[in-house]
Amino acid sequence: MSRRLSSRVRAGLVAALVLGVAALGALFAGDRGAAEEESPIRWEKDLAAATAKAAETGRPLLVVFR
Amino acid sequence: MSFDGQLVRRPSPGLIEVSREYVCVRVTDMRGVDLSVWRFDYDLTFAALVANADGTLYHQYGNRGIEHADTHLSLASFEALLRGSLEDHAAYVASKARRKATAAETIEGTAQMQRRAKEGKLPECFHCHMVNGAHDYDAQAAKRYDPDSVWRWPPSSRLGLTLAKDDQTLVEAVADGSAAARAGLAVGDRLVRVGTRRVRSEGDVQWVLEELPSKGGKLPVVYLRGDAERQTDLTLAKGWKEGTPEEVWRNSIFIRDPKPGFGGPLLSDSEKRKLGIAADVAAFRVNYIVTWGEEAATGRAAQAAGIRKGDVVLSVAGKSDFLSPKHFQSWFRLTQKAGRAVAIEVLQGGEKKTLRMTPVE
Repeated sequence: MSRRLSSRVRAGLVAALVLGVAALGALFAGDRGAAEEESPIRWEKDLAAATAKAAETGRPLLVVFR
Repeated sequence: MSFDGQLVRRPSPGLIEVSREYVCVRVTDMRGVDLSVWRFDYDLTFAALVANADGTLYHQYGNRGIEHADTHLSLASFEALLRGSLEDHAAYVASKARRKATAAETIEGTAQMQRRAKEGKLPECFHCHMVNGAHDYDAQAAKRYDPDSVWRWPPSSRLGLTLAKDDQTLVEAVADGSAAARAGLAVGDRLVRVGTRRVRSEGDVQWVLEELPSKGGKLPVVYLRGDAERQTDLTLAKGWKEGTPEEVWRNSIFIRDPKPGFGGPLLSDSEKRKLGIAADVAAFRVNYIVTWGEEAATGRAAQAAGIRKGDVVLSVAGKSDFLSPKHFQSWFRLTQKAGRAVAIEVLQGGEKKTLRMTPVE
């Protein structure tokens, strides 16, 4: 009985850990990527594609490394 | 909110407007990025490059203070950089110059990452700081590691200059007796060119300094005093790139020898009171001794001296004002020598002892 309970406790702890890590990941992604979609500045995500676009349009590149 | 968060979520109206003149891209994974083109201070948590599509870099933005990654970044100075860079882009296009192609270099191509790939241990995402880590690892493995790499990308303060955070070509302070002061630079001057480079940010100044040798020499500077353009030469002394242990923030310091082989957190004021340690002594408790991996000899040297886990270190070579665990680690590497014994004062089981440790490489 106590063994079953401790395995449930362990499972609960693991689930809480996974959720915690996921929440932290989402928070981190807020700065690293997800928020780009909502930014008033249009951000490309692919450096090669952005470079090709700059060459085509004659505009300079602004490359942010984060 | 971090500077990057502000830039993405809450940029100023001026930034939004000037950004439309650019193709803007955010890179969050260094996989596949050609390091022969996109060269910057990879240890930064935020860096921006303004460039032509052919890979010619016009300007750099991004640096940091010792205390925090964002202390020298501002939307105002970033906007000023982008506005000024449009002139440089127009001039470059008009010149019809083209960048010569270079042999591509990637983080995946470093020996460290090749080894990790073979072991199936490649990271899911390559962060910028991993580039310097991989380069340092490769250099160490090839026995060509430069211990001075901890001073890479020197800040303008190494010249004696403090530049305004919101207006990064404006001289805000000049340190007495510094190279900048001796060359006649003064508060209110505005940098135009440093070396051969037009500067529009403190990152640009660091770019020039990074390329200069640490053996010293002359550095020409063009600046504005009022409306008048002036020129002067800064004389850099041998070893000018070196800072103090308090200034070290790069993790590359951890590669440098000699290593103490032990460390731990600073004691709180209440812990010190309980142990009868004066408040101004930055005592720390040893909570690890390196007895594993390639550096195990360093921990064995500490153990041979009598250092044990749980000891409270009161001073090392008489020094007892460490600001942080990292400060102790940096200070030890920058001031101690392998083979030269150092006195370590500890509280061990409530008894004060002075141990003598001989660090190894």
